[in-house]
Parts: sequence; C-alpha cells; structure tokens
Amino acid sequence: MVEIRFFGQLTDLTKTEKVLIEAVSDTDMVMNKIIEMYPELKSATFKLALNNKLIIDNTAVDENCVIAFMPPFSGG
Amino acid sequence: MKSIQSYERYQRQLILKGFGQDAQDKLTHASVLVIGSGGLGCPLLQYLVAAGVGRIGIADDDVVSLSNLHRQVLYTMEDIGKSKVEIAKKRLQLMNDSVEISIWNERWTQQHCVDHFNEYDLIVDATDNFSSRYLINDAAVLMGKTLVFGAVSQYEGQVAVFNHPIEVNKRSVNYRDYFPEPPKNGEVLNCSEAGVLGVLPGIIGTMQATEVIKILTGIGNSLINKILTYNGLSHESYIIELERKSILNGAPGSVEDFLNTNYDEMCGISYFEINEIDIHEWSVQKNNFILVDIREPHELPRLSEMEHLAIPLSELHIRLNELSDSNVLFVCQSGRRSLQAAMMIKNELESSRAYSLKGGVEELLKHKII
Repeated sequence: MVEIRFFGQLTDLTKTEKVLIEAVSDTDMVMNKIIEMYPELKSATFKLALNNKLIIDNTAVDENCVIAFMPPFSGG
Repeated sequence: MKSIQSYERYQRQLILKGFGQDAQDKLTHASVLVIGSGGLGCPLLQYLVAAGVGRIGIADDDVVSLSNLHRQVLYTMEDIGKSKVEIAKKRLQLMNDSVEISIWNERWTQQHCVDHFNEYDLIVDATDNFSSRYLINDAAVLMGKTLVFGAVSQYEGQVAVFNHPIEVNKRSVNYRDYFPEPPKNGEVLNCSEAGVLGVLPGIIGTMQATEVIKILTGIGNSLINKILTYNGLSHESYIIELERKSILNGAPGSVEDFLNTNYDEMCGISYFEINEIDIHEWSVQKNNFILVDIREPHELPRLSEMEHLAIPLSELHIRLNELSDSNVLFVCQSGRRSLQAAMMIKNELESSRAYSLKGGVEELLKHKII
C-alpha cells in the first residue's frame, strides 16, 4: 500500500487528507491513478514529495512509501 | 546605564545556554527587511523588535481594516483606515525604542528591491500574494540575499529559508526550485477567499521570526533546502527536502530582465480572455445570463432571493451538462474563483459563454442587492 497525503487547498478538491492506493510501481502511475480518482486535481498546481523528498522526474515507489501532494501557499 | 537596561531587557535570552552576549551582539548589529505587515508580519515584527534586532525595515501599502483585526495583532479598532506601517512602527517603538525602524508606506516594487535589498542583511517575505512572492524571491536570488519565506492557507502554513549561502559561491534552493512558475490566477485562494484561522499566521509568523533569529545568531538548524508545512488542526509538521535540478529555474538572469518582468501579468495572464462583468452591467442585462453560485454550500450569505443555480466549484466538472448552450455568469465570494470557473467552462464547453461577476457576493452585499 502506498499512502497518499494531500496538503493545503488540494483537500478542498479531494475532500480527504489521506488515501491508500495499491498496484503502483512509479510516481507517474500514482499520478494517473490519483487523477482518475479525483479529476479536479487535473487542473491544479502541485508537486509530489516521495518520503519527504521533492521529486521532479518519474521515480520508482516501494510498498509502504508516503507520497505527498503539495500545492503552493500564498496567504499571509 | 544603557548597558544595564539592555542587560535587564534581554536577560532571559542572555542567560540562555548557547545564546549569550555574543548572540545578542549579533542581533544588535543585524538588519532585517520585512515586506508585509499583515497576518505574518505583525507577530514576526513583534518578536524581532522584542529580541533586539538592531535595524528593521517594514514595507506595506495597506491600511488597517476591521477584517484584519482577528489576526493582525499590532492594530486596534482606532487604527481602522490608517496606514499599517505607520501604526506598526509606533507600536513597535513603544515596545523597544532601541531598534531603528524605517517604513515604506507603498507597494513594494522591483525598483524598491534593487534600491534597498543591499541595505539589509536578511529579507523576510510576509506578503499575501504570488506576484509579490515571486518578485521578492527573484530579487533575493539576483542580489544574493537570504530570504525567510512564510505563507498560510486556512489551517495550514509553510516556512522556509531560501537562497542562503551554504558554500563559497553556492546558495541553497529558492522558491523557483520548488514551484518554477506561479499557479494560474485564482487557482490558489488567498485568505479573503479561503479564510484563515487567526492564530495560524501568528504561528507561522513566529516560526519565521525563529528562523530569522537562528540565522542571524548562528544557532540551531535552519530550514535550508527544506520547506516545513504545519497543520494547526492536527499539530503535525511535515518537512520536505528540496533540491536544485537546474540553474534555469525560471528566474530572470539579470537586474535588467528582473526590472522588465511584469509580475502581476506573470501571475494572472491566463485570465485576460475572461469577461468580467460588474454589478451595474449585470443589473441591466440580468435576463441574458444564468447566474451560477460556485461557492461551497457552507459559504454565506446564500443567494436565496435570487434566481440562480448552486454548483460548487468542486462539482462543476461533473455538472457541466446543466450549463450547456447558455450565457453563464459565475459568482463566488470575492470574484476570484468565479474567474477560475469561467476558465474551466471556456476550455471544456465551447457552446457556452462564461462570465465572472466582479467582486462577487461581497460586492452584492456592499450595494445591498442581497
């Protein structure tokens, strides 16, 4: 199981802060699966962090890893 | 006499293990520029002045309003309508008159950065919009300044230290390494749209002050090449590591390019094609539009007296069929999310024409239409 966490205003779109998914081997697969589950995220801006590390390119994922969907924050 | 008073004032941190007179002297000789004296700026300024940072600059062009007071704790009801920086300076000097405070009661621009960043050791971003944030970040990178970043959203907030020297000729990541380009205008809501728990900027602003003091005095581990996200509802902190993938991260490469960049346009260009309608135009042409309230059901006041459809933005993509072949006028609380909705429908439903009501429900309230 891979744990997906949503931060900031992404939770307004997903209505949840956490979801578990399975049968994914890399972050591109994770992305496709999550957008299928929450189509509103398709037009949202965010970055992925795999086990607390920002990732830019497609990266392999292990069982039990945590992937955070991080949007930009602007308020002050 | 002065040194006795100074000892008494800072005694609790002077006796602190790992701090002492040496750290206090570093603060006394340090200078910090804080851009924004709102929700983040108020608490962080209070703590920087209280701690005895020698020289502080404050920039903000806003005036105090009643809706600021639940989180901007330097201001009172008597200050409504007055310049924030002037009131802030007055209050802060009452707390500690040994700190030298300069103020700019004007919108902070690229020229201000070029003219004044070098007068300060460290820059703090306490603004509330992406245009200012990218402008300040790019200037800090170009001019080689450490930047302490803070931002909030609803119950969460973020803190980071950007562009700090880590080796000879090498600086840590900056905001462009995290998000090279700003999000589309209206996509990420500010506090006036999304709301914010009053104490949240208090917590994040205080965390920013902590980072400033740590960097100036050299204590602890700063949030360098990292960004911390704090959740006030769970008290969970989530730190992610950032790294530089490319030097070309979207920032202007020279002061000239920087001065020629239009940051407002850069952060809002995608909505230029959306037609905004103000309430006067709408009142004349009411029958030509279907009014669609895209706020979530809990957002008040509802438009119960008016003929309208209620389709929350989060459901818009699955309910597009309710809007086909019509002129649609979207309305939200302040007119930002309605732009986003109009953009969405423009991309996905070419048979309809989408408009956004300028100023949203707040404008309807102001004109006593609801």
